[in-house]
Parts: sequence; structure tokens; C-alpha cells
Amino acid sequence: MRPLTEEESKVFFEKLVKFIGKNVTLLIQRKDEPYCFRIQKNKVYYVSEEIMKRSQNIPRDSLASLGTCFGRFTKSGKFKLHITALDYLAQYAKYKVWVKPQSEMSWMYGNNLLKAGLGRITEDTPANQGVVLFTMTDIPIGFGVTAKSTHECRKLDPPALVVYHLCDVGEYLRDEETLF
Amino acid sequence: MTVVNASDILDNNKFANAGHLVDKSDTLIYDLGNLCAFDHSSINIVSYKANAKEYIDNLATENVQLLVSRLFQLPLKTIDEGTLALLPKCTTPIPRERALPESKPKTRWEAFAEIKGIKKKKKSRMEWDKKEEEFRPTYGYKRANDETAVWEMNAKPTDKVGDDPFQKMIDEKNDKLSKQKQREQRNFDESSMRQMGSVGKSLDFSKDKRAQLKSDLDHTFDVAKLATASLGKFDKQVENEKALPKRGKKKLAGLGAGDVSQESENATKLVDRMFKKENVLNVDKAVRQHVKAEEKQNYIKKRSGSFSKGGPNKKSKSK
Repeated sequence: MRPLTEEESKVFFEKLVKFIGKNVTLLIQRKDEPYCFRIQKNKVYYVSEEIMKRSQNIPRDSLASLGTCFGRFTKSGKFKLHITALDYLAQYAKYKVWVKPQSEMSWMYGNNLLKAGLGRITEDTPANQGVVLFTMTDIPIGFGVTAKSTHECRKLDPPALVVYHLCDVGEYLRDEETLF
Repeated sequence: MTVVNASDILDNNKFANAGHLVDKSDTLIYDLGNLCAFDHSSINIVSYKANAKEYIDNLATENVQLLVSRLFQLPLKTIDEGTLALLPKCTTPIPRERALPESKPKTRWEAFAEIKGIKKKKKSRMEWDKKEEEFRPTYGYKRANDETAVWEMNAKPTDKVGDDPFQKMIDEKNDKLSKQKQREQRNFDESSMRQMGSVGKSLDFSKDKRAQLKSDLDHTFDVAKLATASLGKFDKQVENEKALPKRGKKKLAGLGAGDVSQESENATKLVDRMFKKENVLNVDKAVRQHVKAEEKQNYIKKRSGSFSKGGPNKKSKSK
């Protein structure tokens, strides 16, 4: 367990900024309790200072997980978000997409979102923007990247792709062993 | 046992010439020091083609006979075991069997002494000791003029109270010793480095050495790249050039490991810097707003224009 290097934190924050924009600073500097990002076996965790200090007593090899896993660094140095980061992403998301009930399941099985399933979308969402997906009852169910901007979405046919799949809550069941 | 003489077996009539027993003019070039003779005469093609083996055998026999008879003409020396022929000096240069031995790498002092022309003087093992008035070894146990083997020392005005001059002397001596050790180590390091480096050695292009050769070249290139004032930062890049490998420790963003507040401050700064670079303007949104505003103005213009022209005109059209 160690803090992120400068390059790592740059890559990491760039990815977060795609979803929550400047709200990243709210994650970094919390008012209630000091939190920090820690890297352990190429996974990045969001931990409160207290837990982080307690976990320093545990040898690195034995430490399986701590705090909330935000994602992992690939061998080539890219950062991949995990579905476990959804709580924080949903809280601070800049652009949101609401999914119609009939295509919720399709999304949760790992499919892309089609125009037919698009319930609502934040005004002025550009294309290729990280978005968090919600059910119509405001329960977060994953995140992805928009294929089209809000403006373009209006004129699309129902089978057209709207949001590319990145992560969905179904992964809690599908990828249980590698997730945390 | 009877000794068979070669000249008995050979046809005596054939070799009437008593000088060398060979019926042939002696055109050979001799190098008796190497027990060699060279026949430069041209081959008789007719007899060679008729029977090559016989021709060559004959030629060789005659030439060897010539060489041997020359050997017997050499000055002789008799020793207990028999008679020796004294060979002249070799005239044909023959290459060495092994490579020349490599010279031992010079120490710094040796290199310096060579430049300065300082020569090593032979020191005698025994030296005259003035105090004891006898010859003593130059170094080692009970050596001559030993400065440390004194039981008293004169106090100097610079001496401080509490300092032990004897201890000081020993310390100085140990200091010198350790410095010499360092010099020896340095000489050793330098010479071994020179041996390791491929400078001045021929490259081995064999297939199994190719990977090593390539990585060596890459390494040399990396080193050479640093040899500018900017450490290669502003150099013109070659096509498909690899970036310099990063050396040294990775810099941790929150170097005050454990101090979370400092760390989060650094992270905030980093994010701020990212936003400064990023273009804040949302082009799509701006364009849309602009288009909308124009449409609205057009609409207002149209409406106000139609009112000023008068309603009845329009009404009549619609009717």
C-alpha cells in the first residue's frame, strides 16, 4: 500500500474527471473526514485516513482490500474504473442518463444502451462523455460513455447506440472474485 | 640388425651427380632454419597430365633429397648423444600461434610516472639506522629510522591539553593506510571497468550474441543522448526513437507519506492544473445557444415586420 505517484495520479484523476468533472476535488478534500487514495497491488482504493493508518500494520502481501476500490492500473499504465466506484461517481456525476425499466436488465447483462432504452438524459451532454446511468427511480446501475450528444439523440432511430457500456451493477455477481 | 642405407636401395646409376644424389638442377629456395625448401619452378604439364600422382611423388622425393643433402652440408656439432647440425636463422616469418598477451592495466601512479618519466628505483632491503648505528630492514619489524618507535616526544607550543601525541601519530598512520587502500580499490575498479567495456574490442556478430549486441547498442545510444547541455531534452528526435528509460526513484505524489492533508492538497493542485489546460468552453453548447438566439431574433424580426406591414395583407393571403 502506497500513495499514488505523480504520473499515476495524473492518469487516475484524468479518468475520474471524465465522469465527475471538477467534483474530484470534493472527493479529495472532504469536509467530514480526511480521505485519501492508496494503491495496493495495482488497485486504487479510496480510504479514510483512520482505516489507512490502521491498515499500515498489515503486511502488504496479506492486505487483500481496504476502503472502496475505485479501479485498477493495467500493465500498460492505463486506469480502469471498477463498478465499486459507482457510489461516488453517482453522487457527483456531471452528466446522467436515465434508463427505461424495460432495458434495465439488458444494461445489467453488459450490453450497450440503445435509443429505445433511453428515458432521460442531462441537457447538453456532449458525445464521448463519461455518464452515470440511473433507473427511472434514481438508483445508479452503472456507467458508460455516450456515443451521441443529447442534441443528436433526439433525431436517432430506436435501435441506435446511445451509451457504450463500461461497467454495470451486474458485475457484482459476474466478476465477484476480481472486483474488490 | 643390418642398417639399410637409402642410397643402396636407390638406383645408383640414376644419380651420377655425387653432390646431391638428384638428377636435377638445384633451383630450390631454402629456409634451413625452419627445415623448409620452396620449389618455384613451373610444372611440366605434359608429364603431369600423363600421370599426376607419379609426377608429384617424384618431384617431392627429389626436393626432399635436395633439402636433406643441404642439411648434411651444414656445420656440425658433436655432443655425447650424437651429432647435431647447426641450423641458420629462420628467414620465413611465421605467425604466432596465440594472440599477443594483453598488457596489464596501469595504475594511476604508473600512468603518471610514465608521462613524467619517473623510473622505479631499486631500494636495498637493509638501510643504515643512524640512531642505532647499524643496518636494519627498510620496512617491517624493527625497521630502520622508525619514527613511531619512540618513547618520548617533544612538546610543541601548538599542542592542546588532553591531546595524546602518540595516539595522533597512530591515527595519522592509519589514515595514510586507509587512503592507500582507497587508491588501490580505485585502481582495481578502473581497470575492471576498462576490461568490461567493449571499447577497442572487435564486435562479435555471431547469431547468439546478437541480442546482447543490440541491447549494448541501445544502451550506448541512451548514454550518448544525454551528452548535450539539456541532457537530450531538446534534441531532434530520430524516427521511431524510443524515449529515454526513466531512471531514479519514482516520485510519490504525496511525499509526506502518512500526512494525508498534504497529500490531498497536492492532488487538488494537480487537478486544478488539469482544468487550467482543458478548454472550459463547451463548443457544442455555445453553438447551439448561438443558433437558438439567432432563430429567436429572426422570429421577433419577422413578427414585428409583419405587424408593421399590416395584418390585412397577410390575412388576405391566408384566405
